[in-house]
Amino acid sequence: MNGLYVIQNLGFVFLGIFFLVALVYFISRKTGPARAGREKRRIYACGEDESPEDLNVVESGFFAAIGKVLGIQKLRNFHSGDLSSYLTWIFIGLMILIMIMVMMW
Amino acid sequence: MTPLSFYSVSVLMLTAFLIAATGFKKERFAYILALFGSLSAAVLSSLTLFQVFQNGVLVHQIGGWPAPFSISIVVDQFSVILVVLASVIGFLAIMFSKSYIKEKKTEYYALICLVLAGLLGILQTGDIFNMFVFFEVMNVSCYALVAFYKNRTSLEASIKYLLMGAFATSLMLFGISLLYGSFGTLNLADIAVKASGYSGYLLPVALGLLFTGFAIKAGLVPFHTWLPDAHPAAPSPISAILSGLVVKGGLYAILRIGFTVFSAPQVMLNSLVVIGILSMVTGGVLALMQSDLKRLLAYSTISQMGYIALAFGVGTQIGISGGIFHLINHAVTKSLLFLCAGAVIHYTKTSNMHKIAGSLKTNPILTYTFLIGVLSLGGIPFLNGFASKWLIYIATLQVNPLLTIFTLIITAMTLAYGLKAFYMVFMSNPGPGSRTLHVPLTMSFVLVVLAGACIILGLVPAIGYYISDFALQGLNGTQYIRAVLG
Repeated sequence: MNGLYVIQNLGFVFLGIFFLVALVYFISRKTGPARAGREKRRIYACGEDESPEDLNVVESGFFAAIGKVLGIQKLRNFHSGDLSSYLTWIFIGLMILIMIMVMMW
Repeated sequence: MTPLSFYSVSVLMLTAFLIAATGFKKERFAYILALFGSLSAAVLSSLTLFQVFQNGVLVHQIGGWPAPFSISIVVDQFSVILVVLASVIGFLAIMFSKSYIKEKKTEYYALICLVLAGLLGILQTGDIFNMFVFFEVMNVSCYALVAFYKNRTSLEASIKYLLMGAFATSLMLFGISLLYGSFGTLNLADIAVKASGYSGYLLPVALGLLFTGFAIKAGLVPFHTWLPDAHPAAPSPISAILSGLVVKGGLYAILRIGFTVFSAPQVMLNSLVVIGILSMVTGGVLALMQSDLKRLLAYSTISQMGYIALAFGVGTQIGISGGIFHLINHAVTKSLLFLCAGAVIHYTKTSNMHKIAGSLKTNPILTYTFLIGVLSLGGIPFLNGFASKWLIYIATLQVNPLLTIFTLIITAMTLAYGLKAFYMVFMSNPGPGSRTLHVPLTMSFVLVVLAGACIILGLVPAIGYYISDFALQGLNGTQYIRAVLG
């Protein structure tokens, strides 16, 4: 039995499984219980009517807690968009790098 | 033997000239010419890959004079992989632009060809001053492309990029002049030979200047500040090229000079590790806080460049292989993500994720390709990002397990901001007045190809490991010097 023979047969096995799963899925859709209606899927929030949008997690603030813990505001302040401070950072980086290169060469 | 990819630089420059020459009459030719030029470059580069497989390092001396008197064109195992990557992604970005760019096509396509020509020149030249010239060709075109929309944001970003880029090129030029003053040559192989017996202070100063200049181009912290403004301001196919390819040009120069010419001194490797860690943290943390989709991806680029720098800084064979593999993967994945973002922004006319959320009904191709990109970047198994990050984990584990824990934390952070972007853009409930997003066939094709590459390199990581091991041979200084100087 060579490798190609095995691979070809594996292909047929996968294809067979795929069709079997598709058949089971199709039958279950046809014979299964009816899907939940609109009323059933409504969110029950302690008796109050709330839309799904209102109950969603606010994505933008999702990581705000991590930000506060890590002190990210300071890091954001360094990225103020001010060109002079950007060039100062580059210059400081250059000086440190050259000093390290010369001292540790 | 002359590497065929050497002609791709000429082809792209000629294409840029033809686009500019014919653009005044018929602007619609611009796309066809650019597509043809970039396809030719991709074919020539792919053929060069076979040349390098068969013959090893390829050297062409311009004018027929021997090195170091001529300008050497050197294509080795490392540069050829990057040449193929750059030309193929460049071609895909141009193809994507068909439905994206509706105005000023002449300027756009001529400049994009010049960016690719400059980048391919950087990757193939064996002469440090020639490298500087190609950097200028690439960067000047990039400045103009960042300012393409000519609105307040893009003009400000372009001016910042230009000033910081000018600062970087002056540092590079200063470093080159120190090397030329010390050794009397501009040929990289010849500098490597002469520098090996030199013990003065000029060499570390020159390396420091060159390193800083190239690190600015590569967007590594603390030299990264131009990047979060420039990448979002440019049209999305340009953002894909900037993030996927142009920053890699800076990193390539660091590696070529550091590894091939200066034989990877320990101080340079340590600097790469420190800068890599700073970039990973700064980029990752700031990406987490963004509400602008393209700005989030731009900060993510800084973080991923940090991964690559860290991997090379570790200096072991696995580390360098991991760095090369992640460099390839990041180019593919980030191009995919920027192009997906471009398709969304093209229709919603905003890159603010709060405004995008709920304004469109999702398109399955766009949704799934973006998800593949996000999961790949987040290092999820069976995607390419995992395969390269796995090598980086192993490499850092061999040196210091704390570094591995650190990289794992940043990977979790990457997944967090990636999924945040995915959730906000694609999973929000469509609000009233939301439109179904129709992605043109050319755009869909490009996205599917890039997402397919992410899956293939993830399912069969042996391909990536083979490519990175092959490319690793190119960083061997002895082989490079012998090939150029004979």
